[in-house]
Amino acid sequence: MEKEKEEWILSELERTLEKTADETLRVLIKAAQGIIKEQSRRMEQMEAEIDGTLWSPRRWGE
Amino acid sequence: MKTLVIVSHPEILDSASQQFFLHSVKGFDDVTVHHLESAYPDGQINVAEEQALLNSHDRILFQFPFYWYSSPYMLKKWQDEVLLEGFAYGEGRRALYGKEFGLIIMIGINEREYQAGGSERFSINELTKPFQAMAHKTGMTYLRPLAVFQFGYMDDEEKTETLIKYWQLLTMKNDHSLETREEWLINRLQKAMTGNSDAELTQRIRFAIQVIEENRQTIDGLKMVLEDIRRP
Repeated sequence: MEKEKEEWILSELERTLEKTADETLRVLIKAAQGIIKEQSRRMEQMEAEIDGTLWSPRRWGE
Repeated sequence: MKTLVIVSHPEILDSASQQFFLHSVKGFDDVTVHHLESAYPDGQINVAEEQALLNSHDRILFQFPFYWYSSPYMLKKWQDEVLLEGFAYGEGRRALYGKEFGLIIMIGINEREYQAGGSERFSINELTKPFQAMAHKTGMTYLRPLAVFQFGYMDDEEKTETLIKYWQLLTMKNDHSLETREEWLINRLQKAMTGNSDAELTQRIRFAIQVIEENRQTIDGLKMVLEDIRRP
């Protein structure tokens, strides 16, 4: 996910949080923010691993 | 999945932590909360009714304050009287076999004290061995416990994080992978939005769900690429 899209959805959720009085929904919105951040981290780590593996000296001989 | 939360607390109305957690699950249709001291103010437990309750649920949770490294008296009495030979263990039928079992414990002392070198010396996992043995003997899968340390000192963020863990222990399948937590969250968001007439809110929540689902597709795609390039 592009950084801008992540930041945009997180701020959208933050705005939603400010307008929502329903306690259950507020907790779930916070959980959604947490999950999106975790997904984003996971994607970055996997992309870094793919880049690292492709550039590994072990692969230079292929 | 249907979850039964068996709560034992002699003065539940005075407990801010119990009220906080129990109040939060009032709208959960897949959760039954059963407070022993309210159900049996005279202490006389209806064994047949309790066994029927156990039979009709898939996940059994004990929720209580940690008194002298164990549960309050009423929950011990419940165990002694309800989990009888021939029902819960022994030859023939084992009614709880294949169900899941977990603990939710409210603890007034700091978490760091429950380890070697701490004032309480032993960990929660060590101190709850009798409950683990009970789950083992009755054929239930023991779930990761939720120990809530010093609820009164938590800030709002910590309370929210703990509440999410509580809801997950009550309603999420026993797997804490990111994918399972995503599925669980989407399901809970959809349930929470049922009947909500706020169009703008509904649209924003729908969009958040869509982002979570798209991210999952990307993660699965990256996983396949990684598996491919890791292959010797």
